[in-house]
Parts: sequence; C-alpha cells; structure tokens
Amino acid sequence: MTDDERYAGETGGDDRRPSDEGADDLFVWDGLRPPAPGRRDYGGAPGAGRREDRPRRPRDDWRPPEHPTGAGPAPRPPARDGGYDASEEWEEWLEPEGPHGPETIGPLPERRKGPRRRRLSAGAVLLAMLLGFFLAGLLDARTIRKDVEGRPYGALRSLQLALLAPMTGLSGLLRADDLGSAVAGALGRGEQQHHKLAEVKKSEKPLWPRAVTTKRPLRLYVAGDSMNQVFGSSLVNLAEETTLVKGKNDYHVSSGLSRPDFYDWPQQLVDQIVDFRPDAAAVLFGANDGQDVSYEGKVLKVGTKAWQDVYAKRVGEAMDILTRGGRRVYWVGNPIMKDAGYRERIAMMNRIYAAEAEKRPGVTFVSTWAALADEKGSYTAYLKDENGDRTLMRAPDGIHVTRAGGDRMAQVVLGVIMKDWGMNGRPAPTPGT
Amino acid sequence: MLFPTITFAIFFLVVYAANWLLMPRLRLWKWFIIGASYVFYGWWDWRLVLLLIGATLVNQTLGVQVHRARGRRGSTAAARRWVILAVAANLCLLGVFKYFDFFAVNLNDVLGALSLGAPLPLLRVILPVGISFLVFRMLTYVIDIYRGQLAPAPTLDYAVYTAFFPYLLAGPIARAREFLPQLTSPRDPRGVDSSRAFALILGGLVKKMLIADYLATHIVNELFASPQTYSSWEAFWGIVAYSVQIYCDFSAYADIAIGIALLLGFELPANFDAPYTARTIQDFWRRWHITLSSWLRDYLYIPLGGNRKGRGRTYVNLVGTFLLGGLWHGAGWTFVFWGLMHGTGLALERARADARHAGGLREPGATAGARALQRLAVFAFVTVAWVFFRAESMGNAFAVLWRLIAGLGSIGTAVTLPVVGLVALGIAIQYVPRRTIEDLEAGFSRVGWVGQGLVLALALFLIDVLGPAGPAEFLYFRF
Repeated sequence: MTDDERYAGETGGDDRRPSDEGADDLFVWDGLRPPAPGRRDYGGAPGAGRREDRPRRPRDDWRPPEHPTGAGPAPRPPARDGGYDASEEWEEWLEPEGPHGPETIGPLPERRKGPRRRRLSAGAVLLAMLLGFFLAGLLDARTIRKDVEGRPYGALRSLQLALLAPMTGLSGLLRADDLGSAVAGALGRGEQQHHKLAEVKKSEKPLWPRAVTTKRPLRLYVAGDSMNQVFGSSLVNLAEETTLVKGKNDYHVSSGLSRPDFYDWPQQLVDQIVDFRPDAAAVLFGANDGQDVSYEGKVLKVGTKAWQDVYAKRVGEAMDILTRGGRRVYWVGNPIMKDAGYRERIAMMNRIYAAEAEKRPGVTFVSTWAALADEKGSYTAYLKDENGDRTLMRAPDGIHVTRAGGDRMAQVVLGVIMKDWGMNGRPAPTPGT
Repeated sequence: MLFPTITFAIFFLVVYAANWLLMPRLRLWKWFIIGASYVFYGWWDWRLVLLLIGATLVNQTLGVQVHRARGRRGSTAAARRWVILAVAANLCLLGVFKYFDFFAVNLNDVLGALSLGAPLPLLRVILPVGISFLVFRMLTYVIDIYRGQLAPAPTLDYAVYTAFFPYLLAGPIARAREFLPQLTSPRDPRGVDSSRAFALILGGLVKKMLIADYLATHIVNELFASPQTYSSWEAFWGIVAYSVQIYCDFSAYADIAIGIALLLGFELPANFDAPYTARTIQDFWRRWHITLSSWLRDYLYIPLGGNRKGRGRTYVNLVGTFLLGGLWHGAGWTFVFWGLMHGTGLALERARADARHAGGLREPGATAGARALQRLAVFAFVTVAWVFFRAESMGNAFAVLWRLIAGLGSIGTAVTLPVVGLVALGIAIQYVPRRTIEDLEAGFSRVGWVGQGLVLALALFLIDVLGPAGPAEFLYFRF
C-alpha cells in the first residue's frame, strides 16, 4: 500500500461513495469524477520520499483507515438522473485546458515533459545559499548595516550588529562595499543630492498673512509618518476641495524624529521646503517615536527626563526649520490610542509638541486627541458620522486611522488653517461632498 | 515575519539546515517544523499561535468524529451532523474575527433606519493574519473526510499541515489530501529541486520588490488616496498599474512560498498561470489564485448544485459563489461588488456560450486578431473590477473611475517612463512561453552549487539596490 492510499480514504471504492446517501446531501461528491489522490505517486517524484531506505515508521505516525481501498484510477461515476455527465462539470467550470484540478499539485511538468533539471543535495543547496547570502552581504554591507542601525535600540539590534561586524569589516577590507556603492550609483540608486538649510531663505513678500485666492493658492506641505498615509491625504483632499490650497503629502513609514539615523527628517524638510516652496506646513509625528534615543553617544531610555529633553530639542529643531522664512506651521498632535501604555507615551509627546509650539511664534499646536475619543474621552474604534451612522474610525492596530478617521482629523486641522489664513468666507468642506 | 527580510533569511537558513538534519527522524522533524512554524506565525503576535493550536485540535477532533460516524456504511446522518458542526465552527472562527463588525454595523444601520435601535456591540478584535487561508485549509480536511476521500491523519501530521509556514499567511491553499501524503515518508535530501526553487524565489522577489512596490508607491497609492488630483491619462495608467501590482504582489508570495517549500522538500500546488493572457473570464479564474477558485468550485459551487440543476440555477450558483468569494477577501461592500462583477461576468459568458451552442454558432476566437481582442476585453474587465477591490469605499472606486472622464485636458506628471515600463513588463512576463522558463531553469540547474550561489548573490544584491527601502507587506496578508 502506498502512502497516498493510506490517506486516500474511500475514494477508490466507488460503491461506497457518500453520494449514495442522497443527492441533496450538502457536501457529497455529487456525481462528479472523484479525485483520486491514490493515483499520484508522491513518493516517486524526484525530491519526494525515499522508498527503499525509508526509516521505520514511528509507532503513532499513522494508522491505516478503517476502509483501505485499492489503488488505481478511480472509475468514472455513472451519469446521474437527467443525463448529467460528471466530466461536463469539470469542463464547464475550470478544467478543460487547465492542469489545475484539485488532484493536480506541484510543479507543472507532469502534464508536459520539460527539460530535465539537475538536482542538488541538501548540503550543496545550503552551500549555495550561504555563498549567495555571503557575497550579496559583502556587496551590500553598507546598506545592511544602515538598515540594522536604524532598528530600535536593544539586545537584538546589538546582536545583529555584532554578527554583521565581521561582514562589514571584510567588505571594507576587500573594498566590496565600494564596488556595491558604485553599482548602486550607476543604477541611479546612489546617495541623493540634498539642499542646505542656508538655501531656505526669507521671501520678499511675507508668506503670512496674505490673501489666499484660487490663482495664488496656499501651498501646504503635509509631512509625517505612516499616520499621514491616510490623515495626510485626507487633509490634502479636503484642503484642495476649497480650490484655495495646493497640497503635498509626504510620509515615510516607520519614521519619526527620535531616530534621524533611520530617517533624516530635518534634511527631508529642508529639501521639501526648497523644492515645493510651501507657505505653510502641517506635520504629524510621534507614532514611532516612543523608543530609546541615542544622544551624544548615550542611549536614553524612552520617557525619562533626559529623553524628553532630547526629544523636545529635536521637535524644536524641526519647527525652526519649517518656520524659517516666515512659514506657518501646524503641528498636529496624535489622536487617542487604544493601548494604555502607548497612549500614555503619545500623550507625553503631545505635551512636548504643545510646549515647543508655545515657545515659537508661527507654530500652532492642533490637538486631534478628542476628535477620535468617545463622549467619555475614552478610546473608541467607532464614532458617529455626520448622518449619525456608526462609522469605523480606527485600524485594527488601535493606532492608525481609517479614511473616516483621517477625514475627521483633517477637518479639525483644516478648520484651524482656514481660520489662520482668513479663508472663513468659505465653509470647510466635509468629506464626501 | 515577512519573506523579503534579513530576519527571515536568517530564520530560513537555520530552519533549512535543521530540516534536513532532522528529516531522517521524521517524528522529531514534525515537532521541529511545527515549532518553527509557530515561531514564524507568533512573530506577528504570539496570541495567534494559541488560536492556531486551538483551531488545529478542534478540527482534528471533529475530523476523527466525522470519520468514526461514517463507519463502514459510508455517509450517515451522524457524520453529517459532525461535518455540519465542523463547518459551522470554522465559519464561526472566520465570522468572529473577520466579519462580525461588518455585519453588526450594517445590521445596526438597518435597525436604526427602522427605529428599532438596539445596536449590536462591536468587537473590534484583531484580525489574525492569514485566517481566511487557514480556515479554508482546515475545511478541506473535515469535508474530504466526510466525503470519504481522506482518512484522518495523526494529530502530529495534521498540526504540520495547518501550520506549515511557507503557505501559512497567504496560500497557496494546499488541500489536506494533497499535502498530508507528503508527510508519511522523509523527503529525499539527495535531490533538492534548487534551480526551480531559486528561480521561483528570485522571480517572486523581483515581481514584489521591483515591480509591485514601485507601482504602488509611485502611482497607485496616491491615485486611490487623492483621485481628484489626477488627470485621465494618469488615472488610466494608475488603474492598469494596480492590475499589474496585485498580480506581481500576490503571485510573488505564492512563488516564494512554493520555492521555500521545494527547498524543504515539499511540493505545493501552483497558484497562478499567466492570468492576464486569459481569453474569457472563466479562463481567468483557471489562472488566477487557482487554489482558491478550485476550492470555491469543489466546496461551494458544486454543493450549491453546480450546473446540474438547469441553466438558470447554474447562473445563480455562479453569481452566488463569487459573491461569497468576494466576501472571503474582506468584510466590505467593495469586495462584495467585486465578486458580483466576476460572478455576473461568468454567468453572462456562460449564457452567451449556451446561446451560441443552442444556435449552432461557431466558438469565437479562431483568428489571432479575435484572440487578441478577447484577451484585451478580459483584461479591461478584470482591471475595472480591481478598482473596486482596491478602493477604500464604493465612493472612492467611482471617484477613481470618474477621473478617466473628468480629468481630460491635462497630462500630469505621474506617468513616467519607469511606470509605463514596469506595467508593460508585468504583463509581458505572462506571455513568456512556459517552455522558455523551463529551459532557463534547466540551464540554471546545470551550473552547480557555486554557479547557483553566485547568481543568488548577484540577484539579491541587485534586488536590494533597486528595491524600495524597507519591506512592504504583501497585499493578501489581510485576507
């Protein structure tokens, strides 16, 4: 008996087909050509189980079914009442040209003999993989190291860096990383050219206040982390519906202000100010910032006084870059979060944003905390929309927002922007209009 | 744990070595692969492992009960009760985690509209990644036992089947009777099909990281986020780009999963076969997510009556099957509508074929031009349907489609040469003859382990250089 037969149940025994019980049975193989797993020789295919030198089967590995059946092709079932032909079902649904009936598995050569592939032993494949990973690692050592360095501080990061050290050392010694960088550069993936902060100059006319018109719209730069994927596009969409705003949403997943070694937001802000020339910026950071930071060679524990001081300094620096030249900045606070510990950290960072904004003219802190909380001020995934329907506002992670949630936050922020720029003559658009 | 990460590479090297070292001691190997798979799954959230263990034990118990109740006389009423209980338990699992809030919200809306109030509570439980695939796999086990096509496997084997990490998150939906026989004897360490495995893995990485992710970040995501800012020209390319993105994303996962399983000595069913070369919608479903479409056929369409109960009922069955198939992808009206489009398309196609058959007309597609037109028409249909699949809401979908008309007059800047080139490449690779691919794989197999290692190194390096910074999740994880 083959292995497949042992698992084959009673398929081969047509006289015991369950359809004999009645045609209305919910799951009976109703008049169809039954699949015959016993026909396939799983063990015979290259790469499958050895037969001759198979070790003795462990005691509980398998127990024969109560009704072992014979192998061989399953007989074609008779046509049912009404002249139904089993093969018709296959042909008319999915089967005729396709090789993919339920009994057809694995690689396709079975239906059409292709050229033979040579196979390797498992050890040789391991060597091939080690060689491949090693050489790729040598060529790409700089990128891999940068990637690992950007991960949260902790034992895992330290271990990964320690494991990488010989690789990066050898790569530098052999100049393989230079070769890798040269190839990356030739493929257009080399180091980017950046602007300097000195290029951000004060414009001749004041950026604010001024009349905002359709011909001379407010140029709004929206920046942040993955929260901005939805919130940022909601804000740009709603703002542009006024026809008085030209927006740009710039978000980078997993980024923030805690770890400039992972993503250099200050540099990105400079680049975008020079390239996009915004009159105002709305930024939302913090979702990834609740982690340890490195400052002057020390790793500071998240939430400590020293951490808060360093984080406030980085927030202040970002605000100073954005306001340089008279730009208005709307620093958006994160909404309430589901997890209690995480919520506390977010609240702490919101307090830092508010305090730093208070110190700088031109920066307004906009809280969205309450906009996504329930009437008791607690976290809720659902809130009522304009029509009174309960609408999902939050993603399953309890952090990110749905489109409705993003729209609600955007409405709050846009209201502040419109008031600040004297656009009150126009009603703030509501989502879906 | 995501496939295209260094973490997974390290995990896999360890698992690979242990896989073949332990293979001669099959029982020990099974414990090991279950443990490794739980680590892989628990990487997302350790609570998911408890759910997986619970679901495995419940289904195994029910499978054994179904088999016992069948006895010697085949299907019995008791067996039927057990299998209904098993199906209900699995659907409950799916229902609680995936659909409860969707139905509660809509039911509450209806009750509210009727001034009946009494809103149902919303659970907002975490959606376990890959749960739809898990439930469908588990259903094949109990139903096939009930149908007499499978005997219950030992619990250890069944636990390997439910947890096997290559297909755990996003398929292919390997059926119990396809996979379990491979667990009865050790895989042969002397003949690993590495050339095909590496080709599948590298091809998958190229599709995912160089094509799908580029199109997502350079045109698709922003088009669907802010459609009103896009011209007709951009909307057209953005919509077509999503068609290519979803193929390159999902088929990449399946290819990598099949390749990884091959390296471990196991064969998984193919999941894609050049779907955008299809000439009919029916043909498309023979080529797209094959393990799902054949699952729907065998466990839904046929139990509904298939084509055995008259033409009208056949059309209803087709639409019904695809409505539920749409809902399987997600709890939202956009998915239902997407399923409705495909179900209706299939039914109309079937009705047209029936009418032609009755009138004695020749089948279309005899000339090359006609075949090309058929392919174009099917691609256009599928692409428009994908808009609903991708959109956040029905309104969002119509807003994107509306841009095809409303954005005339300007060109915009989103359609760049790389976007057009990658869209063309994503479609062109499906027209490469299978024989050519097989020849390339055969040639690759002859270069030995050093040659394969060198190709692996160069390809991994180029993919990392050209790909995006940081991995993006595969689209089908959410289903």
